[in-house]
Amino acid sequence: MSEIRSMIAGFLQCRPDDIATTAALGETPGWDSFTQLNIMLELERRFAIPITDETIRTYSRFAAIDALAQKSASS
Amino acid sequence: MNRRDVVDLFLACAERDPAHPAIMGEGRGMTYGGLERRVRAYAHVFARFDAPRVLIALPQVCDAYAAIFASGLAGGYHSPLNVAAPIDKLRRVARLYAPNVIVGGPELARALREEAPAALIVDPATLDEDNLFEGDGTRHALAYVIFTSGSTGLPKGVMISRSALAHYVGWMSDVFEIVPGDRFSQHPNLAFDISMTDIFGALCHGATLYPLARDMDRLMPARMIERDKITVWNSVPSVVSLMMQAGQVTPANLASVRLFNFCGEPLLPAHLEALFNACPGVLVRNTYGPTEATIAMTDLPLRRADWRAAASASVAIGPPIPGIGLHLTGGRNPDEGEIVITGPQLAQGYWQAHAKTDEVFKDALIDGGMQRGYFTGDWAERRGDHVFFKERIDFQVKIKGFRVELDEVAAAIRDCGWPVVCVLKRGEALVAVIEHVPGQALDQAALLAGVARKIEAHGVPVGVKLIDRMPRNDNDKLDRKAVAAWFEAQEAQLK
Repeated sequence: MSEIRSMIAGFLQCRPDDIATTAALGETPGWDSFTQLNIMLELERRFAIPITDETIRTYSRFAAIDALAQKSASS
Repeated sequence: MNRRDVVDLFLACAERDPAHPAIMGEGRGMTYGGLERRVRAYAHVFARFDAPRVLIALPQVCDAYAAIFASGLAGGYHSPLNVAAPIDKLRRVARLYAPNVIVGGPELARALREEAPAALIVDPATLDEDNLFEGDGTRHALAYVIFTSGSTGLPKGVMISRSALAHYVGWMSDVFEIVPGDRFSQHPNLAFDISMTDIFGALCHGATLYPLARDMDRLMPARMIERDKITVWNSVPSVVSLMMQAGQVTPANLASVRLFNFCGEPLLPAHLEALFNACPGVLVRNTYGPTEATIAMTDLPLRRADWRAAASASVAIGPPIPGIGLHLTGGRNPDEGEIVITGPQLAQGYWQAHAKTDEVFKDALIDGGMQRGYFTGDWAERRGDHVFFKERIDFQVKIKGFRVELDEVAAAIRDCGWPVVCVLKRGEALVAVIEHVPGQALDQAALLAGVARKIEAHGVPVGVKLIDRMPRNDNDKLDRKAVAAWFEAQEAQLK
């Protein structure tokens, strides 16, 4: 189970297994601006991702966040 | 109290100082003169119809504000859409409202015209600014129709008259002390009526409107306040929670603000604590009002020195504004009961829904006489000088400031093939319990995706549980308390 999946599950108050790979801001129940803010703050802290219009759009989908974490782990 | 129509107030501002910025942001600004030209260009097109019924399918951009004033100038009225809502919901509104003009980008406008085939589409990109509406026009009795959640699954259109809107804006003129140097934020989407506070607060008083157009501004609004030197901030209190979560409620970020105005959900002591710590000299106004009473009808000004006297679990909603009555009825004593509102800000009723209108707009015995009142469904209690909101007495809830009818959510689930449903509010989210249907397996992800196509994301439950047989009371009605207890027991077992 990836750490990122657990982190997002914590914000969404669901089980990690319940997060679909297509999960996204505004499409997945509970993934609203509060959740997105928490995710962005966490990405800033863990991966030094700045919070900009572009990064908010990019990392508003689970698949993109998961890919970022995997890339970071392998580098 | 100044009770001029909003169109006349805007035109007077444009005449007084046409070079003053009316709207800033989106990478460009528009002066009052430029906005008036846009208003007159739209009104010229709208005036082809008698009493034009305008549907505005635009986000928070200059053309949306222009179309709002233009519908009034052309002798008609408008209905604003939240373009971020699911297309199925927008279609339902278009079908009910049957506009004769749709203002919007081609793709969305065409989709909506499938529900209103006679409507003329006006695309802002091709608006002809050479032909302008001349003069001041005449006014329709209606100002706007805002569609909110409806318990049957069909949206309810709240019809607000021009005189009701003028009363509210007149009150703002009296107490907000708005000057042309003011910079109003524009945070709520246009279908959320508290957006009118920003729009008419700024554009009817010669101030400047700053729509929150960028993703980052919506996620970290205090950065936008600091960047644009906002002086008047208006939103639901949840936005302060968002700022607090991001660690943004700081003197540096909020120094320009002279007034925070809140409406739409309970303001909490924690919000005020944070705001007054960051901005000791700021004024906060806590207001309350359902859409059916034209944006807001109570007002409680709060300063750092005195706010604690008005705070309990939430902050008091304040006394009614001049001319409006707030009454408590149906309680065990005169200091508790359902809030009933009387006075000139009451809606005319619901769009083409007479029975629903008669259910909640009805005569009430008040101060020894009969008056038309709006029965809000909000339970409140009076303690000392203050009135505090307690809870809803029906199936309407607020999720992070958004109004949601639990029955609308249930209707969306029923549409997905689960006929017996109970939707519950749990914390700041909704959950659903559905009754087993023989031979049918529950695919939760597919069900929630189906619901998300019908209603806004904040109304989609975060979880669904399957129950063999829904608890019912002696009258065979669904027993919501028993369902909630069963749900909690299931959750406890999981832990």
